[in-house]
Amino acid sequence: MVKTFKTIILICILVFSVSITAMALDYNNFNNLIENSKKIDNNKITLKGEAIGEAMNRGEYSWVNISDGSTAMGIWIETEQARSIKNFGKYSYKGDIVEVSGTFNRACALHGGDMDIHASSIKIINTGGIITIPISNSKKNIAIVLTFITIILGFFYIRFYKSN
Amino acid sequence: MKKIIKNFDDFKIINYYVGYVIIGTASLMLIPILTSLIFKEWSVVLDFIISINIALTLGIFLMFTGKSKVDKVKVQWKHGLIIASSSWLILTLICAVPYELSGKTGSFLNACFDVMSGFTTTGLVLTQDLDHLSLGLNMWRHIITFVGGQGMVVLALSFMVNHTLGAYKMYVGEGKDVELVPNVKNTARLIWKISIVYLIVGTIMLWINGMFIGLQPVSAFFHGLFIFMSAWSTGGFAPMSQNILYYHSLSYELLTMIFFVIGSLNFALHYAVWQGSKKEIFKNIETQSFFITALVISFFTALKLTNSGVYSNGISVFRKGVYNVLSAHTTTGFGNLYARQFATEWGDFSVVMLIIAMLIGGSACSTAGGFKGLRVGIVFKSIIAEVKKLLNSDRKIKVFKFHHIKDIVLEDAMVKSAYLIVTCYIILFFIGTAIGTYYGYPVLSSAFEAASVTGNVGLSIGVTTPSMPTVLKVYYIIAMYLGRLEFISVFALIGVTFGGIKRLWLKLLKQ
Amino acid sequence: MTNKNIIHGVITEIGYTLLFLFVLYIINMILAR
Repeated sequence: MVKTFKTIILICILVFSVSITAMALDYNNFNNLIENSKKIDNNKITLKGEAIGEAMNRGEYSWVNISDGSTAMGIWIETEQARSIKNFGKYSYKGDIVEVSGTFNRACALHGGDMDIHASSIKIINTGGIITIPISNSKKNIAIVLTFITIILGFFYIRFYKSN
Repeated sequence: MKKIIKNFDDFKIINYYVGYVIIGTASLMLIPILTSLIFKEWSVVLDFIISINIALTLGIFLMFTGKSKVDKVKVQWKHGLIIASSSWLILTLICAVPYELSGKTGSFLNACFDVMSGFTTTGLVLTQDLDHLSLGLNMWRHIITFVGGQGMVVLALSFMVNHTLGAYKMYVGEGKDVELVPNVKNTARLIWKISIVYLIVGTIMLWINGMFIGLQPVSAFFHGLFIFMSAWSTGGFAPMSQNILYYHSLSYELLTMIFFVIGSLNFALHYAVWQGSKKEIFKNIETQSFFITALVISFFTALKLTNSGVYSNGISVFRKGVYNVLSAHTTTGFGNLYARQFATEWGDFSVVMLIIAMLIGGSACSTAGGFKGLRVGIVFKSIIAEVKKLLNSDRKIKVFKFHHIKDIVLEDAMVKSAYLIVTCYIILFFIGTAIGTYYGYPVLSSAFEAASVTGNVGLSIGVTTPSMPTVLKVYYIIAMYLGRLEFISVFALIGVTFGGIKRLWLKLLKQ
Repeated sequence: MTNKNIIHGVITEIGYTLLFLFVLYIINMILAR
């Protein structure tokens, strides 16, 4: 009975410690990647970010840049896999949140020194889509009023100096 | 009583032209309005409609107060200089309104920082979330840097039909003094013609290359347009947060290098070459100076980066080392590294090389910043001349010359003026470094950022962030402004402002 | 400034700039071996 208990606890500890080390390789704040680039160079890491801009097809592989909210990182990924990303972030669009597993390069020799990740696999965590940007009523009203003021002022200016 | 009326006349003249410049620049807001309309960014359309109305109202009002005095009061140097410096200040506030309304800048100060950064073609950015920025606002950012490079006064002068008596004085106030042709209005138009020709050529080349590297046609066009405007004006803004790194492309980087190097050249040089004198490229003191300093700095930077093993192959050293050296030297500020990498990877020597490159800067009468190649050339020649004079016998009178479009004698007045402005830049740089270290930033990082600001470069080592101290933000804004306008017109504005305050104070005391 | 001048001018400037960049590239590749 005690032996079974000990085994269970041991297994729990093992599982826990493995998952901690796996989590340690998660870099969801890209600034950490940049600051620790020398240490993490050539390591396998996982990171998560929103796909932005567009996928740039360079033949068999493509570039997809993903953003953690403030910084973006370039992912070199097989074009086939890149096709699974349907939404890319831009104005009034939220891109797919992608989880990337791959090798981190501080200064990738293949890509002229770029800091990048060569992805082995990606997973779409969240799909993105359109974000409706509300049009504030006060802005509409202010815009209309101001336009009138400008036009009236303009008329005054032209008429005042035409008569001189 | 007469003196007070004369003072008001001064204001009226200044108001009229400042109003004119404001209306000219604000009218450019029609372009982002059109862009946002086409792409259905309705909220952005409203932002710009509000902004353009504020600007036009102010401009019309200013012109109104001054119209009666135009052509009746002679435009003197003090007027011209103050027209240039004050219109830049007012425009910075006005053009920050669209940013503020977008909600992407933390504060109005941050918005002003970005606008001043654009006008002065610096390129440091405080706006957040660039990757989700509207096309309209991105269009505006890049237009600001394109116009700022040429000059808002230059823009206004090219449209001025009459009232052009004081034009040259305003033109000089904005930091240029070369006259391509005797008439300032035509000089302004020529500067625009050269820029527009390259705008068309450059945008098309970047557009096509953009599609080759995998961008969709429409976005390739806008990326091309924005990147060109930023490259030509040696600005450094880019539509994405990763700057040039977003593209991960040697060909794209190469094209930007071509355009920012050409953009950093003196407009008089462009005009001379376009008139047919190709030899000017070799004989000109500025191209010679740039060639030498760029070569030497690239050489040592590449050497150091290779030896310290920062990059593992030659092409990486070229794309990261030489690219950033040239970006710094031409005061462009395009980067393909994350700001912090300069601090964490490059090592002190290479950072110092970049600082020197940033301070030397590009050519005079171009969109570039820094001491300027012409002054660096003059300073060097004057040192050589002084040494030669000492070594020669007293009876020989030697005349030293250099070539800048035409052969020019190295006169004392010219040398003095060069040393004066270089000294002002150096003081600006040191104060910036000192303030940075006061707030706890490491010396080299403070110096790097200060050089970037002083030379209107735009590369960052990580100091420029929305959370940086307000004093530093304000200082950087002032330094970018002083650096771009080359001090004189801003000093005139400060002098007149304080002189006026002093006079007002004395008047109040007398009563 | 005729159109022909403009085309010549642009090509000249781009050409010399490419030459300049090429010189830097060669020096860079020699140093980086």
